[in-house]
Amino acid sequence: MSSCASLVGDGIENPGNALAMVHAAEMYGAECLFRDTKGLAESESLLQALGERFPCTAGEEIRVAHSRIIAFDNLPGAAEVYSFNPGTCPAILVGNERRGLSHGFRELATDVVQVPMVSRRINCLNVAAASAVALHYLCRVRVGPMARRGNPASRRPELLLVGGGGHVELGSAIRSAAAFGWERAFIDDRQQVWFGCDRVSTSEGRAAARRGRNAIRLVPCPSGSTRGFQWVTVVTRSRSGRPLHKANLARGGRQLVVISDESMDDATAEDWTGLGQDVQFAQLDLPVDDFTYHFRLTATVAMAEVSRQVGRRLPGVRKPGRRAPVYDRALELTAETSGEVLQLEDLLEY
Amino acid sequence: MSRSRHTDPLAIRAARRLRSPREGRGAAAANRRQRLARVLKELGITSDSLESELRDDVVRLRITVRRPRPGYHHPLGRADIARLFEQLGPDARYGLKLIELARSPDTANPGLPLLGSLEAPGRIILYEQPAPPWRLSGTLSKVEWDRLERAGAVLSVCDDGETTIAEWPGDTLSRFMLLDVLLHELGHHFLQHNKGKRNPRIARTKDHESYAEGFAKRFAERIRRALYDEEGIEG
Repeated sequence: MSSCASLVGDGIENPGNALAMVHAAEMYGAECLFRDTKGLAESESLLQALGERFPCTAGEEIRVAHSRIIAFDNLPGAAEVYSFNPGTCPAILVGNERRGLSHGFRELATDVVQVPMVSRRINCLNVAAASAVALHYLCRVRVGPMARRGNPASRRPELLLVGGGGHVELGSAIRSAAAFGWERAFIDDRQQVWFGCDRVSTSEGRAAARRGRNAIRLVPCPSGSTRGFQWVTVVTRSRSGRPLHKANLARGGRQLVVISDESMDDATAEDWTGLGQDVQFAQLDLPVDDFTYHFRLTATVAMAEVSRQVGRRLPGVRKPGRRAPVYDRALELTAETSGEVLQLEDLLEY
Repeated sequence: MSRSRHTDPLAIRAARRLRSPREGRGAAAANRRQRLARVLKELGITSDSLESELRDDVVRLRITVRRPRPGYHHPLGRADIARLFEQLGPDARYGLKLIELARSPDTANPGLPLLGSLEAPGRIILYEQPAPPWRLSGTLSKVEWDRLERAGAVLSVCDDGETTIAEWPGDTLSRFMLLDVLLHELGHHFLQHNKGKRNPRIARTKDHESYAEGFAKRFAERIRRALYDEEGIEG
């Protein structure tokens, strides 16, 4: 696969996202450039983190350097990223967080590619997370198209997000989970960045997850708690287990996919047997070992692969009707142990 | 004034529907009943004897039992549930399709047992429970703590509030499952079924829960007296 790819951010506003994009490119051995229309080059925090000249580019330079220019945006007629053949040395264009690609860059593109979203309510990923997915499927692995099934929901595994060094990282990962169609995710909030943290962290994290638009339920799952899953698949950056795209990640509700924040700890060193009977590891199969780790990037790549394997509904197959109501009766814990449930109205205060 | 079978009081309607669930809409209309009674009277057959024969022919409640996993058990048996419904009468059984003694779902947290659920329309599930004492991960809320204590559980907290131990002496656990969990789910069913709409959510979850809670409270004392005091067991 090509390693001389360029990731180009068009009009990125948030320096945090820009930095995460640089690190995503670093993760896949690609270069990262920006067309700066929002004053990104003036951000001191970004320049400090980069420690060098701001990587700026223009449309004409991209046209000269690359024969294939891929617009990565959910535009009409876009091909899905999974089975797309990008050729050698493509340029991947990603757009502004809110507005997407500019008209000029859309005109520049030779191809349009998107990540198929499952959710109807949240139809895009964080721009850095989307860049990581684009680089993974266009520059690293070659896989088949998204599966088509009669009832894909029956193949969707449960999801456990562990750690999440910062609230924005975890929030973006939750946003990705919602966008890829999960209605529930278990959260092991080791760093205490999600449940019961201070108000500033909470509001920023919730905004990153766009919880106001999500219908995702977050279930606290503290470290050391036990669950009865049949299969537990732990996704890791280290070279253990099968490559992610070769692991079976569509075994349904009896499988738990664990995505752990490995910025400090190695997921393979931890004991996961309390969660289920059969514990397996799946590696991200990254081209480089030494890179700046972001939980949202690895988590979103892993979730994209699960989403590809779970698939989408076959055309013509009707969605099952509205589910009849179910009323469960379980014991309730105190707020400290059952986690914090934040309603949309509460977010209006921030 | 026009009369409709659907304006029959619940007790009459429930008994009739349990007796013949697939009966046509006009099969036992008042005018037909009167005509039948007249014919029977002319033939010298009293309608009382006929009705008492029919009353015995009631559709039995379907209860299925799934074998629990090792280390778990079903605190209630078929006989316990049947005894409860004998006390409650036909109204409670009306529209109830199945009571299932099931295994816990794979996703359930073993440190916090799932007790029961209602899947509308008319399917009540009572889950297997771990053998006592229960080791619950976390501290129970005040409401749950009081509820379990009232049911006879002996509760204690250990590991700095990380674990709650619940002892269930004697038959307290089966009574709890019968008089709290099953009646609570029955309350959900009663509200859901008697609104006349089977599948849609007919009340906000909070209101549904509070109705079910009220239903369980209203009947628990009566059932406790009828089932346990008669046998000389302190309720």
